[in-house]
This record gives sequence, structure tokens and C-alpha cells, in this order.
Amino acid sequence: MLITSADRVLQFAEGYLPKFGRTEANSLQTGVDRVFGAFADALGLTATRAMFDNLRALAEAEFEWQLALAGYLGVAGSAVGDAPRLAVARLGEVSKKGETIDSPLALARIWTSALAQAMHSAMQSDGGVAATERLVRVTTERQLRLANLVALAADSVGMTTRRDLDEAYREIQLLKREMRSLRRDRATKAAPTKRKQPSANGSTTGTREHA
Amino acid sequence: MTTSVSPSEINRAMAAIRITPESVIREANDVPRKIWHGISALANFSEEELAIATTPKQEIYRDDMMRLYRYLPTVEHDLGIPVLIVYALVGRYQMIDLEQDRSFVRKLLDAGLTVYMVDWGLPTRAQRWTSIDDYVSGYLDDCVDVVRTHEGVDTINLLGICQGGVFSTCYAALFSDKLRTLTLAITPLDFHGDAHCPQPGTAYMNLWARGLTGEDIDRYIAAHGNVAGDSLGLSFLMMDPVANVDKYTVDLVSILDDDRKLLNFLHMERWLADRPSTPGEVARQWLKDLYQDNKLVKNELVLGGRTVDLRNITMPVLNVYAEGDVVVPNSTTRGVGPRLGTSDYTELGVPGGHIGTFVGGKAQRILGPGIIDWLKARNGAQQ
Repeated sequence: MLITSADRVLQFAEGYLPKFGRTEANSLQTGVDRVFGAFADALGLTATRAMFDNLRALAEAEFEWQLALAGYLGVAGSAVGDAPRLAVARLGEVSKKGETIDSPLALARIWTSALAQAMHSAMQSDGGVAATERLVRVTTERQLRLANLVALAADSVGMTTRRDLDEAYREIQLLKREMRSLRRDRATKAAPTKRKQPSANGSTTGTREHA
Repeated sequence: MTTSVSPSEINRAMAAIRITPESVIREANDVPRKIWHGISALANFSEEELAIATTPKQEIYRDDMMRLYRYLPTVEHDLGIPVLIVYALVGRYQMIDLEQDRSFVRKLLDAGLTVYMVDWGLPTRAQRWTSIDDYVSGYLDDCVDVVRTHEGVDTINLLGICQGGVFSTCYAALFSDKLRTLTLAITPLDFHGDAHCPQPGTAYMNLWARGLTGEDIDRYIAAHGNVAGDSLGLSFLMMDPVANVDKYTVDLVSILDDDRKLLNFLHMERWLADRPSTPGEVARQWLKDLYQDNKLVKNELVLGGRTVDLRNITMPVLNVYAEGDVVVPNSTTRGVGPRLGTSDYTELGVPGGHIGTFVGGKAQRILGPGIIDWLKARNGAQQ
């Protein structure tokens, strides 16, 4: 039932919501590109065109994200529908034991614990796991496209991009590993049992000294 | 699964509800009273009362963002049992010293053990390419060497918690000659254990990670660089969203007039708010090599060109698990003894959930004494 409900929400979102006329927009964009692309580049609009493309891609990713979120919330919503049955079952167990619920807060706890159980079942169902995975994928895609857009803007005004920084950090990390390896080789050759000695104040430092 | 509820079931359920107008009025009066008390208490707690991880310690080594601390002894009798504690990257080490009266660290110190702690710090973009090998063969090995030097011993006792337990396991397999014992707490080892032995309501992370492709994970890391602390926090929240709603509503209201419980709540919130980012390369290896490919128990995990072979773990091993753990289900933790090279393997179960292992009252009564007695026995100290 849970999966069916989630699927229905997803199908509704996929099938009936407008999709910005993506196919038509893409065809038009391709046509304009083919006719005016070279001319626009000659006028120095390469970066602007690339940014426009990325902006469009970002809008598409945003829309995909909305759909994925709707699917995810659909699964969560289906759990709410299943919770009353579980709450009734729990109250039945209480009654069977001869116990009673005499406080509104205690009743609220019964309800939330039933809802939690329903939510666990829904999110661990095949539909729940698939909705979560899809949300992760489209969130990633949206983030990548946003990063591309920002990188293009930064590049166009000569600013360092995140990729430039990442490459620099990668080099630094590789150098650190080499330094560690050399330090250990040297220590092993000098005295196999020698260890790092603490300084007079009891503090020692590693390859990068901050103390 | 059927959703229909029979009239008899409804009647039985209704029979359990005995809420009278008096009880509603009583609670209606009680809740505002608790809220007013709570508002006053929240405003009056001092910074000292709100402080966490207050056990005195001294920094003895640092490298990049990592720090190694030695806790100051609390008793005269030193048993000469050095213990190096390694916490996870996804949370701060303060968890095991959260409350003064329930501090795991203080329990070890009060028993006469010498306690060292690795603080992995707060990774930044600069740690984007720091790998599991950098943590295990780099930072952790350096810390072990510093502790050995400080204590003037060849071998020490390593205690790894959660992700820190995985790092410690890798370390024990690669540097077994430097360890006297290995203690693991709430540590995932067989990352596919949940698939063989499903426990409903647990192992969300395992399910999600296995459902994604390797390419999905590569793209995720490429998009985000490091995995931000707040993203990790959200993942943990989404493992049990209703319980978290409960926590900030019904549960909170019920403790607002109890200053001690309210303070405990605030200590936990302070710890939760300080969630570090995980370096991208570590996250990539963690999700692909461990969650997806389960390489650790297959003896296929390669760190720095060396294979992590669990059969090299020949020192005594204590494996502590939480009976109600939904983050690291028992099926991923227990039963790894036959895969190790040691003949001295012990499992210790404690009641409660993942974090409850180190902050829960019931768990604390078993955890501290259990680990201390086990360590004493393996270090030649009298019980």
C-alpha cells in the first residue's frame, strides 16, 4: 500500500505537471546555436553563451529536484496514512495488558511511536529507498550545475575557481604523503627503534608545526 | 499489508483510553507551568554549566587540524595501562566526555588508566584529498608512536569508536606490533551484515549507500568536495525523522521542569551542533569500499598500497555493541571473531542506541566497568 501510494504521487508529478516545454526549448536552443554560434563567439560572447547554457541546465536540474522531492515526500506521506492502523494496534496491546492511557501526552506518544514505525517501513521499502536515491542523484546534479555556472562566472573575470583550489590541495596532499614517507624512511634507516621525542614542555609536533 | 481496522480492534483500542476532563485540565495546567520553568532555566544556565568535555587534559601533539590530548590523572594509583581513544570523523570526540557525572573518560581515569584522545579537528577544503590511509598510517600511527614514547612502552591499548573503530581495526591489521589490545565500540565491520540478517528500522545508511552506483558517489563528492557536517547531520536526522520531531516537542516539554535533564538535553544539542565535515576522499572510500563493496571483512581493503588483512589482528579484541543501535546494526558489528587472527575475542552488549552507549545511564553502568575489567585483565593488572 505504501509503495503504491508513493508511486501514485510520483506518477502524478511526472505525468501531469508541466515540464517547461523542455523538448521544444532544447530544439530551439540547438537551432539558434547552429545558426548564430560562430557569429556570437566572434563577438566575444563565448562565456555568456556558456553561462546561458548552464543557467538553462540549472533550471532543468532544479525542476528535476522538485519532482524528486515530491516523490520523497509522497513516500513520507504514505506513512502518515498507515500510522492510524498501527496506533490502534498499539492501543489494543495496552488494553490487552489491562493498562490504560490517562494523559493526552501519553496518547500523543502512542501516536508518534506508531508514526515512527510506519515511517521506518515506508522509507526502508523499495519505493522509499528508490525515492531517497533519486533525491540524492538530482541534488548532486543540481549542485554540479550550480558549481559549473559559478566557475564560468569566476573564470570570466579571472578569479580562482573551486576546481583550481582542489587541484592545488591535491598537489599539497601528495607532497605531504611523500614527506611522511621520506621522514619514515629516514627514521627507519637512522635507528629502527627510535621514536618521536617530546619537547621539554611535553608537546611534540608533526610535519606541520603549529604549536 | 492490510490497512483495514476491524470494529473490535477499534473498541479494544478505545478501551485503553481513559482520558478524563480532569486529566486534560491537569495536563493543560501542567504544560504551561513546565514551559515557564523551562524558559527561566534556559536563561539562567551559566556557560560553565553548559560546557561539555570538561575533564582536564593537555595537548601533547598536533599535526594539521588533528590534536592528541593526554587527560590529567584523577587518582594517585597509576595502573600503567595507556589507552588511546579514537573517535569517529563524523562527530566530535566530546561525546565520550559529555556529562561530568557520566563521562566515560572520567571512569577510565578514576580506575587508574592513562587516557589519551585523538581529536580529528574540523577538516576544511584543504583536507579534500585526505584519505583513510592518511588518517590510519599517517595521523593515527604518529599518535600511537607519541603515546608509546610518552609512556616508554612498546605497545599500547587502542580503543576505537564507530568510524574510529574502523580506522583502529585497519591500524591493528597494519601495525599489529604496536598494540597490546584492541577495543572496538559500536563499530561497523561487516557492512553487508544487515542484508543477511535484516533488522527492520535499522541500517538506513547501508540501504541508501548500496542503492547508489559508484558513479553516483564519485559525482556527489565532485559536486560537494567534502561532505558538509550539516549534510551529515541531516542524514542522521532522516534516519528517524519522527523521533526527532518527538524530541523537540513532547519529550522536551516533559523535561522542561527538570533542570538536570534539561541540561543534559542542551549538552547533547551543543555536541550535535558541532558536527565536522568529512574529507571528500575519505567519504568516497568509506561509501564505495566499505558500504558498497564491503572490502574490510573480505580482506580486500587496500590502504597506501597495503592490504588490510584482518587475520593480522592477533592481539586480544573486545567488541562492544549497542543492543538497540539503528545506525550501526548489530548484524554489521557482531560475529567477526572468526575473521580475526586472535584467539582472545570477546563481545560485550550494552543496552540502548548508538549514542546512548556513551551517554545513557544504563549503558554506562555496563560499559565502563566492562572495558576497564577487560583491559586490566589483559594488561596484567589486578581486578
